[in-house]
Amino acid sequence: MIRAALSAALVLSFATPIAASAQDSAEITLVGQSIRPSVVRYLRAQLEELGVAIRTTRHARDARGALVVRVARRSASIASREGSELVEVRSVSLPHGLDTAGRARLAHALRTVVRARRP
Amino acid sequence: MIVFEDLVDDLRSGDLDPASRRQLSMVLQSQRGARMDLAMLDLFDEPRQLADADFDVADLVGGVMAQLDAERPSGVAPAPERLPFDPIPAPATVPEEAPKPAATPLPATRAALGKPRLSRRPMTTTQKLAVQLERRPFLRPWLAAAVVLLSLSMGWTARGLFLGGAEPAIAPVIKQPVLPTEPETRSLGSDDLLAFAENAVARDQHARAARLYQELLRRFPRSPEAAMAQLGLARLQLEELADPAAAAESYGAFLSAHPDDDLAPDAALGRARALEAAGGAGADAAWRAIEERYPQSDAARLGRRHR
Repeated sequence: MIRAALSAALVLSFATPIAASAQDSAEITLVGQSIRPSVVRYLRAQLEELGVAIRTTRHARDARGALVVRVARRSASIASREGSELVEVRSVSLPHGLDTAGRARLAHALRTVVRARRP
Repeated sequence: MIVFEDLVDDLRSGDLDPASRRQLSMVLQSQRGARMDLAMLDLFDEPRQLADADFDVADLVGGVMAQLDAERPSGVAPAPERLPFDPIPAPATVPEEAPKPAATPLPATRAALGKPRLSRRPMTTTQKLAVQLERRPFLRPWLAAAVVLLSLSMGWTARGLFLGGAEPAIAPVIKQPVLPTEPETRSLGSDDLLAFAENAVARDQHARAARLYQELLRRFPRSPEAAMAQLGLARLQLEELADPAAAAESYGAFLSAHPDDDLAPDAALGRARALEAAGGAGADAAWRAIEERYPQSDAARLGRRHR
């Protein structure tokens, strides 16, 4: 009984990082100081069909996932994680910030980027 | 011949026999002036009752008549002592020695007299006109002529306006095709319309979302949201509404209006996919155009993978 429990714990200890890595690859992190919840809800609804999770953080050092979106005042840069580095793959202009049109622009760009990185 | 005034006197004194009553009734029904005279007499009863007990209207009238007789020229016959029609019946003779009721208050209102209240509403314009015509009957033919001329002129004007000859007086109104507009979105701006449309997309209300996108493009074609509405409509037509031909047109419209936009590679990719889904001959050219114009983009990567 004890041996079975130890075996299960050993298996889980190896399986958890693998699952976390798969989840990271389908996750987009929005990095910004003031990203409204409505923007996050909108992007989740728009990218739901692609099976992408959206999370937010205020600092880039806390960002995880395959794609990191740095949101500035009038633009947004989309970076892809290549090993341990983030490589910018695309930039989207946001003439009026993340208003209705701005978040739609970001959603269109993210949709293409996610599809291009799918096998 | 019985005089009308005598009948009225008998009526007011209460001595009217049935035969005279029938005659008076016939006169009153046939002559409006007679009815008015009788009504005036009834109205005159009130001030007589409101007068002070010492004030005798009959004496006043008699004094005035005597003064008129005194001032009358000698050639004119004096007025008769009693007119053939005396609307005011002689007051009941009160013996001088009889004590007057001192403490009895005099009635001051028509209500106290048991009579209906007089209407004090001003006459309407029509009533005033009727009164004037009654006083000046010579105006009637002129008024009738004015009405006829006015009617004819109005008729001629209407005929000239609406029943003209070969050339109509008013240019025909060309009906513009009215696009369906949802009543609740008429007062919305472009920002709200885009939000409504994308909310409809999230709720799988694709037809409504397409209408909202089209309304935004029609009402606010130069707004910042118009470009996103064009792209959203194109994606909706391609992926949800199964209308790749319309989607290709929408993507093409976006590329024509915004060739240097950040999202132009995405629109070019969508156009190529739409043309391919529609079976059009331009699909291969569209894929090649992506490779040529946006070689480093994700759209070009997807295009290479597709080929």
